Amino acid sequence: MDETAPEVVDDPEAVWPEHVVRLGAAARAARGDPRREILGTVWKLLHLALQKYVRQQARRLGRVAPETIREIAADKASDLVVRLDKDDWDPSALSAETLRAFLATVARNGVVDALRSGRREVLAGDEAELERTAGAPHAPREQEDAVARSEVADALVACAATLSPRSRRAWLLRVFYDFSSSDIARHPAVMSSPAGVDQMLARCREHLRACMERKGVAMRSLPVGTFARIWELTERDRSALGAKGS
Amino acid sequence: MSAHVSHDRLIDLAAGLVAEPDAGTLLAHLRECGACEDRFRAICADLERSRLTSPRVSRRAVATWAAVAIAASLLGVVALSPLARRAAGTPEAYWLPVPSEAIDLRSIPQGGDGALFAEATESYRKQDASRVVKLLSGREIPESQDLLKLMLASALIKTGEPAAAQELLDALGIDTLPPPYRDRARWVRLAAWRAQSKRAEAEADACALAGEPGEFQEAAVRLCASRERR
Repeated sequence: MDETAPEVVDDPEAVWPEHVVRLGAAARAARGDPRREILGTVWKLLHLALQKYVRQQARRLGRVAPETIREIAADKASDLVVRLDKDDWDPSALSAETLRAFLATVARNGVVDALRSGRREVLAGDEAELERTAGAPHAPREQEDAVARSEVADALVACAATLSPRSRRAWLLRVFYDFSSSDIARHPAVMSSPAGVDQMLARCREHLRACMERKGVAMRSLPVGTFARIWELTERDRSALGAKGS
Repeated sequence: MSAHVSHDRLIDLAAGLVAEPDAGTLLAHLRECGACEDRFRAICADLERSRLTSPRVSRRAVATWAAVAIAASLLGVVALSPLARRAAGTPEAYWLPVPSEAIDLRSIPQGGDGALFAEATESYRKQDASRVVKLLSGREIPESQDLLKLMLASALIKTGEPAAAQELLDALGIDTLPPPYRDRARWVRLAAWRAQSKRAEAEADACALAGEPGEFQEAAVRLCASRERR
């Protein structure tokens, strides 16, 4: 764990760079569906990593809207995956450190291009982070009593565990990830209509409210630790069934 | 100041790259540290969002339609590329695109049919219709696994059981499915109608698909036009 700004420093213990290097080698050796699977995983990892580097560069170079940061990362990750697929880029030839440096450069170029083309503005860096977290459904942390907090989180997780997996996923996507109803409807684990999602979410809210009431736990906001517990619950299901990590 | 988890390690955790006991240590920290939990939540949200979006290819990288088709197929999005349209061919020859996470394993109870469903999905991906039917016929498929039901219906048509496919599709409530699955299910149903010589129903589906932009429009226009010509 790191004592300084956690988003600025590259963590030498990180696993994802080496994983991308390994996947690069695997992609070159694979064909057909396995290759597409690998490329899909590489895309997701590059997309996440590039967001970090784009955000870093935006802090240094100028103000870039959070949405633009995501667009730059998605564009650059897509370009790299297409190049990998055409054997035009070979991450397996890079060390983890070189891969990081390369991605930082790619991110820098993306930010410079965006600033030149006028896609600047709004918020970047710390301000953007502040905005992202300002809407977070947590109570003021300083005022929370740790025991009460844990009690509420445990009760909520227990109640959420009684939802159907599909409903729970829809609820997670809305409450924690702020997905729109139409995005939730398109999610492969939900597959419904936006109106169907709205009905499902309404039932979830009612189910959770009644469940919390039965447990005698009052909930005005989602306490710290709730998301981590819910995420752990769903990931445990996934790993128990042998699904792949990404 | 308390220690925080690095952004890199949060990416590792979200991507499932951290083994125990490290994962447990990180999660224990996240349960107590709101700042780290918030950053982790944002990363997980981005990861989930990436499951909905196909990789976008910039103008510079659009060298070949093949590249676009591959990029689209990464996440099961076979929307509008000419290759995708061509691939629609006839309803009978159609195989549903199977995204990398076709089955929501999280929604299957532990000890349930997760492994069997995974095998059926893999068999469908290999276009082994008989195996799919053998694995899934008569088995209760959970409500959340609509794509699996679609795969079974498609396989049933290919093994010469269109009536069973029809029954499955009727129960699925095709019109309630989100795009692009709705059109894909209609295209599969079209094959079922045709195999049962239900011409009027087949043409109604074909003309409905022909009237909407999508991956089957071009192929459906031809089938619909044959009715117009008569």
